[in-house]
Amino acid sequence: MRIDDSFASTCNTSTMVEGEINSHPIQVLVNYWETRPSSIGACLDDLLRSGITNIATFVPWQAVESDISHTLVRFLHAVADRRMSLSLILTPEVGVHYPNCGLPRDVSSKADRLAHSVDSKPVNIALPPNIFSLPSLSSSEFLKRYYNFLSRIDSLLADLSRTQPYLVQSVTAVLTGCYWKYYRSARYSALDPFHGSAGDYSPAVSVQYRQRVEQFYSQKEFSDPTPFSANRWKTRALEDVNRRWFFQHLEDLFKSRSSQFVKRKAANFKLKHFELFTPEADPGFAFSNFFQVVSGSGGDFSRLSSLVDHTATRMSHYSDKATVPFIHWTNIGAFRSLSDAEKQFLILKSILLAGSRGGGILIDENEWLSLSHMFRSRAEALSKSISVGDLWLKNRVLYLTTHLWSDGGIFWNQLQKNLGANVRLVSSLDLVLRDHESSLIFIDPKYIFTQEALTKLLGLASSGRVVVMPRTPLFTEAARSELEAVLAAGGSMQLSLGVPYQIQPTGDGKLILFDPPESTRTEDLESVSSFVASVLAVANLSKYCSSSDSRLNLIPLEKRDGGIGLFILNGTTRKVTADLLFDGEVTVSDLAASFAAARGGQEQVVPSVRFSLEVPPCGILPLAVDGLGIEAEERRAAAVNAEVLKENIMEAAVSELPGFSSNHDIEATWN
Amino acid sequence: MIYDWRTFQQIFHPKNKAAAVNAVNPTGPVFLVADKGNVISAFAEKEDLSELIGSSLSEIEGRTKHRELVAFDLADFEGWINESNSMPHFYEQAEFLRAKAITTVNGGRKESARSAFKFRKHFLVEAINSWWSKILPSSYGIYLKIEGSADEEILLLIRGGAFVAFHKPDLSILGNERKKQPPEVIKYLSEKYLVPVQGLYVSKNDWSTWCQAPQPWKLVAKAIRANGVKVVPFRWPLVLLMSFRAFFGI
Repeated sequence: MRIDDSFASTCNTSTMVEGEINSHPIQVLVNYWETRPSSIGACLDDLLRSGITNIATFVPWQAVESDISHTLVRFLHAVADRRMSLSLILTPEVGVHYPNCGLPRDVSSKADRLAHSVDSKPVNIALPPNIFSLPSLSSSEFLKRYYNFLSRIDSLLADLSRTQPYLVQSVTAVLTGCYWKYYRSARYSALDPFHGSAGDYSPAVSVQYRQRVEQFYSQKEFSDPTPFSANRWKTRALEDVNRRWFFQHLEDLFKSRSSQFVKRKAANFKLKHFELFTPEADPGFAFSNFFQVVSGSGGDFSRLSSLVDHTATRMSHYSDKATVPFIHWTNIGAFRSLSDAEKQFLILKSILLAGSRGGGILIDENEWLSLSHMFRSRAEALSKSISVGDLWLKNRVLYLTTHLWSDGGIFWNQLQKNLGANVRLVSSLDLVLRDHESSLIFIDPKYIFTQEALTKLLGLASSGRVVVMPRTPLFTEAARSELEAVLAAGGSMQLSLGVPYQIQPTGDGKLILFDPPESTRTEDLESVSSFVASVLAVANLSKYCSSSDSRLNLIPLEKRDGGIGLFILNGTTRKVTADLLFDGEVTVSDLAASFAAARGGQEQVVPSVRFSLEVPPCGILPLAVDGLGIEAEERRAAAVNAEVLKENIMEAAVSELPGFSSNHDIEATWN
Repeated sequence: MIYDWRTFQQIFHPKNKAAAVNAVNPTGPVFLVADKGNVISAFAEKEDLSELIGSSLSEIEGRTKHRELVAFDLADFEGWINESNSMPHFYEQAEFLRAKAITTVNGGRKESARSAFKFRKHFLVEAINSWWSKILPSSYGIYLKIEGSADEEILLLIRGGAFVAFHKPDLSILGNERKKQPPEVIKYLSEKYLVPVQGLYVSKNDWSTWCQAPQPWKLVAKAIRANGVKVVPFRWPLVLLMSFRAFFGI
């Protein structure tokens, strides 16, 4: 790992969107209930000596219910005495070192209150201290008790704020995304982490689903033009679409109500929303956990690495704001059994993918302190650069879907393949409207278009974005009429690159309407690939660079002073030698040296389009790439456009000119 | 906490240096989970086997003839996990899963398949779970203290050969002086938990050596004879049991 300490040297104001700034991308987890009250002071002193001033702790529901000796308050006292800052994670989460991850036993043991995945099986969390099944977050009994728990916490925080304000001055309450993202089938998640439909398919929730669907489609807009029109939305064919919409609705409601309960009395208390993800507890890691238990071998590093990739691209929300992603590494699961190099790789990767999006990592104190001092300093330096906005990950494309934790589909996969970490999946239209970075908005074919949603999306297109919409039956009559009115303005261009589509200029931007393929046959996937490439070309988007070896993963972070900080990750156990390819000539230097140069140091640059490099096993190579300015962007976009145009012309020629084949030598014909 | 897995793991499964794995020509066993004959998950230490996912078991058998394949059926896996849910803690659940896995793979008959399961139970835990439970009291405790630069300690409460609790005991009530006197500590724990408690005080170096030794009980017996281990209170029958295990392997 060659991430230099000089990362930490710059300290300017952030350029990131307000609300996404997080001054502590590395949160060290100290669980107050695991330490005897008499030892807490000594434990915190040790952390202070190691330079740790910000910590986080889970507040297990069960621990609060049985906290007769007020250990939480004593812990707050100890933290306040040492002027440390603290995040109190209140929502039930997985990966917590407490029986049933802190859930009261009766809540997690009743079979009729358990969540079921799409294959009608309970969702098991196979991490110590015990394997258990997740409860349904929609069960009325669960919610009643859960809200009581939150009210209790709310009262406690309000009392402390009033009577001992110094205790809670530097304390932040944190609500997380809870179990929703884990309601996935282990079987499908093994194939691909977010494969298939996610959500709670338990019988009790199915009843709620039907009631809610009836209620939703009784809105006037769906009954247009006749009252019977609403029935078409409730058919079995739309079951998956409706389920996805319903699960997202349940999750949004849960988050909103949780927040209300915590803010009832403690209205002035600092409250943050995290999306906390514990890869070791993910259903996609269930088989790996099992293999590790039965075989006694080490953790499944490649699987953990892949889970980080997949999760970090999903942007959850609370109300109309993005929640910040945090990746939790425990020392009770597979992470503990990895080698130091593997752990360091995962930590840095998590910081790069989650930290650069306003989040970071949550790591058990023992695990963090077991790593070398040098590595910790480097990780902290990287975090600092990210937290002050020197480096950030740009959302170049947003993919709007109905349900965040379900399969993104073939278009999403293709976008990810093209632009990697710069593409993000969102399930909130409001979040899309608040985003100012992305130049392309792609709407999932399972999205329901109401008139309001369509108007907002057309507004986005008019303001200079490229909005890609599917032509599906999921438009209400009002939405369809509005869309037809836009198309009637004329000037549209019909194209077909396997997937038929239409480009309609609107205002400063473009609207693209496409016919999604009905199946996912191999030839359809090829068509989808061509279509996505052409859509990206329309939006002037292309990869910053590519690698000649697909084993290398590239994470490009935008640099405050222009150019990109390119992190080249080798997640394999072998050294990889490869070429880094750019469309135009760029200069490349060591990222740390680049920061040093900004402060007057000597910068080593070599202009070229191709660079050879060697990345060690589990290594991360940080490079500064300059010269990718507007000119280079335009040159690259022009090259891509020319390529797409050439393909279109060839395709048109093949279909229109008898005897013409794509192998034809056109230049020879002219000469 | 009744089940302090973190401490249990730290003491009984300390992190050893991983054995070197041949990254170029891997030879270790490949673990698979298959659903109706199609592989849905594949794992081998330090390898990315994602390319095997989606292949049929017979295809993989053909492609990896030189390696041991250990395949589980998805339905079995799901059944075991659900069954293990009712057990109180991870240790018991993991033991249950291991037992099921070993008996299922080739009916547990094929020795090469069994060798794929390289998990090794800790020697003390193994002894506690063994026939010792028929001789030792039905309920008792073991207080283990590993003395080094940073002391580690755990109290195991055992009933009928199974762990009913394991955690770091709270000895703050004893005060700093009494805490340093093993008989005082054991007396306090026995009175608090209402079971006879056996104290074992071991040095960190010895413990680490025993944890990795092929025949740890021999080393334990030698250490007891050389006063390298404090057995508090000194109970002859227990020392005899240890010696039997050391020299007769029973």
